[in-house]
Amino acid sequence: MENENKDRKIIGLSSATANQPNTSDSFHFWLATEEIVNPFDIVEAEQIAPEGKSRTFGIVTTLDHSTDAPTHLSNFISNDFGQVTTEPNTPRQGTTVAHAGVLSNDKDIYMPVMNDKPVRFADELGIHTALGIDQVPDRFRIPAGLIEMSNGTRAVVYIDSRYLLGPEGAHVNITGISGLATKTSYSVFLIQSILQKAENRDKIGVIILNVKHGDLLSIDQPPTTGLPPEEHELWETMELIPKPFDNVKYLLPYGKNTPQDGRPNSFRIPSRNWFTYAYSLEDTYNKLDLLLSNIPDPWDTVGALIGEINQGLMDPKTGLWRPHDRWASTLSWKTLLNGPPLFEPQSGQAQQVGDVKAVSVSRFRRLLRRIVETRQSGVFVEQRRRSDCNLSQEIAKIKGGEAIVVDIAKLTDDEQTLVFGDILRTIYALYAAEGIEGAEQDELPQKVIIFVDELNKYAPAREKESPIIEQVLDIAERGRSLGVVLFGAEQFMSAVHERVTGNSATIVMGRSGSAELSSPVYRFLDPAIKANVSRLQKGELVISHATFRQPVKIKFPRPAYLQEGI
Amino acid sequence: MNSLSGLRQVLRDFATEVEVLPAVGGAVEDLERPDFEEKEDQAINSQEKIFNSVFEKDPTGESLQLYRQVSPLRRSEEHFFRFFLDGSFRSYFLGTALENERESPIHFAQIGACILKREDNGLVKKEILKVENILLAGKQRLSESVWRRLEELTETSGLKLVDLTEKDIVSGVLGDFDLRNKAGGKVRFEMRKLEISLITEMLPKLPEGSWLIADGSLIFEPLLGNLLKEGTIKPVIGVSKNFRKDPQFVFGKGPRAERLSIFKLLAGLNSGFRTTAFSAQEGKVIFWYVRLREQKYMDYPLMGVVKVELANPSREPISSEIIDKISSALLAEKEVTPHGQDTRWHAHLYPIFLAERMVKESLLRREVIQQYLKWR
Repeated sequence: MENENKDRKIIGLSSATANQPNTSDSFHFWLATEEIVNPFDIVEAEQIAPEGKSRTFGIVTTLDHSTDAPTHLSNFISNDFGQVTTEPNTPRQGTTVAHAGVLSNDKDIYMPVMNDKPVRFADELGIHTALGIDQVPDRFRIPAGLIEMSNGTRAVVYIDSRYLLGPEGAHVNITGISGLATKTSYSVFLIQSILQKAENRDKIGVIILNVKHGDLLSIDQPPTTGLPPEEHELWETMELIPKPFDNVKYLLPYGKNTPQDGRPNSFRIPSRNWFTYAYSLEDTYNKLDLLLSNIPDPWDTVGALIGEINQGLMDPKTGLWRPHDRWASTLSWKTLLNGPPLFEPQSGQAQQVGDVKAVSVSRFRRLLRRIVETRQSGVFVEQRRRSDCNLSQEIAKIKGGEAIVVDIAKLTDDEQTLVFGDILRTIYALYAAEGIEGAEQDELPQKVIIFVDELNKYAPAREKESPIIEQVLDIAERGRSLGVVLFGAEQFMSAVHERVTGNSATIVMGRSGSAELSSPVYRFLDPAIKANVSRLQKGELVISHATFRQPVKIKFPRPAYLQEGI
Repeated sequence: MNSLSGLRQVLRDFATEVEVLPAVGGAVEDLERPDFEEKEDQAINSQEKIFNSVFEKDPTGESLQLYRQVSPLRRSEEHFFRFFLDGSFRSYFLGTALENERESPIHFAQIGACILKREDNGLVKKEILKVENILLAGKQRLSESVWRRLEELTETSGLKLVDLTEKDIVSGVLGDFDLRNKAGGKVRFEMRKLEISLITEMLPKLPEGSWLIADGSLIFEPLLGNLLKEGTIKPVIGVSKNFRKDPQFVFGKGPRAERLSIFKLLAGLNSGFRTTAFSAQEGKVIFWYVRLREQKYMDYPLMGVVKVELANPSREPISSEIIDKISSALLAEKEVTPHGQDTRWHAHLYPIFLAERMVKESLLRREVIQQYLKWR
């Protein structure tokens, strides 16, 4: 170790004072003149050990500069009583002191760093030791980005796949201001990294929801002008190949104009392997709770009526679609809304159904009509064409190594909730149901990653209960053992249900405002780190992972697929 | 701490020879007298009170004025002063040694001196730093055998033994009656000697064109003798923040000669001016005053002024040019003051303050001394 250290410059000496002692959790060091250190740099300080020396690693959180001037008035007077142009012959004595949070010690010695011990920038191996990456076997390492320090040292940050994809932990939550945090790019990069490096990567399926524009509707296409050389270098540093997704299926929504022009209701049409999906009553009758998730239902009247409808449209023996008895003629949205048993056309009155009074049925019809008829995007159809697919069935066919992109960008909020809920429910049923055995079980991917942006829409912090929240919580809380992994992104983590973020073993933060960072959900961050998060540049992220002792700042390469506007 | 372990042993052994009345808490720090510099100036120049020799000559042949304007000579134009010397000490009363009817205070002091070098970018670095540990007792207040024993003990433990009753120019300003009171002056004299040894060591190494500022007066032997050797002016000046307030100055000759008290002299000295140079010690030293700070910001006229001394081997009036240059370079040192840290900030030169700080940081803290020094 000592030989290694000789090659690396001492950038300062540790400093412990009466007012600012070093502790087992933090230490301070002053910087030699002209040394440049920034927050998030990882340093090592010399520490005692039973034999020889050890190294205590720390991450720089803040830097202070102080001088021997006891007051600002002293500085004013020193400049010849307020002359702004004077340059002193002897500059005032000052020093920059860095405050570092202890990450680890390579010999497990957590004594405070003593005064006047040499401090150096950590090298790549040191960074891995500091973060605990050296304890992660190679086969579980997933490259998650690159640490780039002020002295130019680079180190690949690996996260432990056991805490990313289960079973020890799972889920990723990415938060930050829109446009600056590059949430979507990072999610896709991380998925690409998983698909290239994870164990049994050919047994991982990916479902990506495209929520805005055509961002994710060409992930199987390379960028038109290729990636710049510096981006290539970043990919190669992480031993990853910059290539688009191999095996992608796009599911695009049926739109109002689809019967005329044959085009789905999407911002962009992928070049190949795309299919349209639509929702007829037959496809939706058992998901009406998801469709009406956003409707306040304090007395459960809507829930009760949905139960009645479900009963009427489902075969009691098989559980499959078979309208029967009073519901026999209810075969489409129109007949549901305008026919018996909800409505009596002759009298023009809504009817009581079960215990649900006519007035509540009437409200239900108004709400449902708005969602599936008057304000719908076109995805609800009376009868689904043969060429259009049932989304749930397509999702259920997911295979390992395959990526399915479901476009919901042009759908209304209620429709988006239905689609996302439908995907979660289908996947959850696939993995949680006990009935799937044999060949079916073998075909299932071992893990499924579901990525969705604007997670706060589906699992908002304020609401306590709704069918979609229940569905998201099921995945968040039980997904790690089932192999269902949620990659969620949002602008404000404080707006997402805390049981969802609390279950994410990896939290990634892009630039966020200080008002947002003052929310209690960020209490796991040191106040100094919070201040740094509010200053992050575009493309810089702070990642907190279950096995890391402190959050670290990373950069990552641009994903190797055709992005809009690039 | 090794230096203290030797001292602890000396005290223990010494306590077996004499009776000891230990100081409260083991050691009591002697406080520095803020006016000591002024007293010192008075003592070393006690022979002279009226200074009537203007000891400079204008190279253009113009008649000399009482005040001469100078403009700051900054480091960026010419890096004139590169070395800065100051000393400091911490002194402690350890107790009283009682031997029959005789008694002597025992003091321990750490004295240090430092020369800082200023680099081209203005940052300072330590050039020389020396710290000595001294034990002080009154030789004439103890029996010969006890003093000899003390000499043996200090010699083996690396301490320097200093006789409090020995006469010297600094502690001479204090009465002999209370040796404890005199110890402060004695320690200061030892510090001066250490400073002189540093100047003597530095003199041959000074690069050409680089000057050294020493804090305080140059009128100490063997320093002054060294500076007067070989006939050329050595690049060393002494700068005093505190100086005696009793001299009188006579400017001009004959009936028009103007007699000024130092108050009057300095009240007329404006910022950016220096006084004309006067001679002391029969021309061996010339001195003058430079105002660093405007009077309107000061409480009274003597603030913001430094006294500058230059050894003059020729003992003849020297060119105003060199005095102007030294004064100009000094004027450029006025920015950055230890305001808020030192009551003498208005006349303190910042690099000198840093040299003093360097020494102070090298001395052991009072708490350490008090905890470590025990007679038994």
